[in-house]
Amino acid sequence: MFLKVTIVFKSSLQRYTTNENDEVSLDIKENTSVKDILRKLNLLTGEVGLVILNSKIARMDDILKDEDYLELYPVVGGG
Amino acid sequence: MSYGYAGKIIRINLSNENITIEKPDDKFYRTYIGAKGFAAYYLLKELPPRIDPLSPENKLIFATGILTGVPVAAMPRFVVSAKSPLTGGYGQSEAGGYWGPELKRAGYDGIIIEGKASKPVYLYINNNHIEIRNAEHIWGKEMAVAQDTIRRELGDDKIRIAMIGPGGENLVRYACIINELKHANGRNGLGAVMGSKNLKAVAVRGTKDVSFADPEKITEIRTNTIKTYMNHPLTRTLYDLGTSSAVMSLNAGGILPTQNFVYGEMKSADNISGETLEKTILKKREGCYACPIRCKRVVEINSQEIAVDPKYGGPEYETIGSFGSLCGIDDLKIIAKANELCNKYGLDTISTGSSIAFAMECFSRRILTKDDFDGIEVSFGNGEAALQLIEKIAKREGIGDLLAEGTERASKKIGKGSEEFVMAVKGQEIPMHDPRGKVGVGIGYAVSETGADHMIAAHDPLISQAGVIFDSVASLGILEPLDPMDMSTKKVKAFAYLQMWWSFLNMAGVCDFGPVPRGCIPLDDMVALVKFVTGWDTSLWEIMKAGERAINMTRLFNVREGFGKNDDTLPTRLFEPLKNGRLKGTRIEKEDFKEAISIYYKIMGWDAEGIPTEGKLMELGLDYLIGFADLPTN
Repeated sequence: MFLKVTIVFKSSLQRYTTNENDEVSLDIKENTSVKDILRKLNLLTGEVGLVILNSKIARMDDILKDEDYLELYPVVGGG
Repeated sequence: MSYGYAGKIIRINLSNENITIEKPDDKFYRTYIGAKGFAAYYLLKELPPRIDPLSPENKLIFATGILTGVPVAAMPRFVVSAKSPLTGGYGQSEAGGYWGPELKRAGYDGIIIEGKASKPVYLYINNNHIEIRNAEHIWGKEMAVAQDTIRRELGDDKIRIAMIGPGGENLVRYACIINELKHANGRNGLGAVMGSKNLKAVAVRGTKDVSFADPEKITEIRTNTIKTYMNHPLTRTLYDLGTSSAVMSLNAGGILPTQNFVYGEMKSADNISGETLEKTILKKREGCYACPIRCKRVVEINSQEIAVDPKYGGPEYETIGSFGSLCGIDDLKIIAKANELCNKYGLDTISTGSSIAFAMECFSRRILTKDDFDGIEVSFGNGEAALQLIEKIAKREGIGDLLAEGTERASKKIGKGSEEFVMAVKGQEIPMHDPRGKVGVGIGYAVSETGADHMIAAHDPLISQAGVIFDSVASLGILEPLDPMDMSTKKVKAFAYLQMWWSFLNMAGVCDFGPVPRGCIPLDDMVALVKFVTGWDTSLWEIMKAGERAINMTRLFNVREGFGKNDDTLPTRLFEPLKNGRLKGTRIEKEDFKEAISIYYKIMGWDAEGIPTEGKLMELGLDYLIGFADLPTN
């Protein structure tokens, strides 16, 4: 059974989407973690500095549920 | 024959107008590299202890590094150093633009400026010609006017000019030096030192070539860098959005400094984000000498209420933070105007914005009233008030005279508990990165020899998760990702190594946005570049040791000036919880932080007071500085 999650690409990460909303909908299996999603999107490069899951800061091993809403922000290095 | 450096340093005494040229040997360059290293060498050698930074006894040093002017990305930089009138300690500020490479092409690696001119002057250096010229007709003029006048009277619009504005002339303690109207030696008040010497500008024109040991190999590295940088997440973002990309990420992460660091989130942050800047006021992207990254913004506003002149560039993230969320202001036009005014007058945007936020907190707590502010309602969010205060500070008018002293001195005069919300370390206002979300940045603020500075070491997030950015510094021995709030030995060690790396970059004249981990040029390429430029058969080891050397030298300077371990701390507010945002409730535990500083001293080979030990000084070839910090007893 598939779960549906929405992922929004924020700021400079928007260049990875062509969608006007910078939003992507994904069907995922149960027990998919935040890290799994990033791997699937080929974003495990360290470029994503912050994942917000349903308005809270997410951890990489958080497991996603149906209708979850994720926002991805780029890493900030300072300067 | 020497490669990579000009081999000559100018020494000018403004009191007696003596001009001499010194020619250090190759070993000197290999030991002290340039820029930060040079300045530290001469300031430690020649400055008497405990002088007044605004007296003729201070020395103002402009210095390029061995990589300044190399045509690969991010190598335009030079430092200006002196004893800082803001902190009373080692003063240093770096800038990009075009001035540094021009000085090198004129045939000089640095300029040591001594004494004080009897009336306003500027220096003109054109290859072998060095002249002290009258500046009375441009004293008091804003940057653009002074620059145009100098170029016109010298008959050359390619002259590169580093100068002060009214801020430096009026000895505002955080006045800066600016070249090309938009590239600033921003922090530490070096502009005030220049003003105290009656020196308006240093104008340079150079047409000689700098020789490189292996120019073809340098071109290969340049080619690789250009291929890489638009595909690397960090440098690509610097091109697209500049440093302003930080606004939304930091806000989402709960650490956008808001209302003098009480809060970590501003609801209307999107109004002042990099994305909004790009959509509304961005005129073009610009960069520094030979650098394709083009991280600088140029903005223009032509509305009825506010006009912002694009010749003064555009706001960096620090400026957006310090005049934006820090002051509770969410109007990007006000921020852009504030940036223009600070560049026009020659004021550090971080310290100026922070001084205004401090004033706003004084007003909100009724410690100061409308009357103290000459009738202005200096409340958080009042953009007009902020702009008016910039004018007053630059001219030292009314309350501006007090705020021009910096928040630490101002709060001592004001009293009434205002000392509690001074957001400074060693007297320098902290930048727009809240350590309550990345504690390594806090360690940097605490131990930096120049007072609070966010460009001491790469920030914690860059080594907090596996990926290309993390991998890029694995060869420094950083082998596992570390949580941004981790204060363990592993983190402190990683911080120390990253600090040594950036210390080396400050000696070489390289921008932190070029090399890894904050940029895209790999460590191996950087080492190779030093070889190809200078001909030295060097190594990462040797250049890291050079970085460490300069940190120890500047540390000793501060010890002799009376700084101790109690000065390596953070403002009280950062040990208190954030009051909103996703990290609401987060604070830094003071005892844990003190322990982290203590671990830092041990890792650096310093004693419990933070003083470099004899063994460490010997290892770094600094035996001659053993006992340097001991003041004579008589």
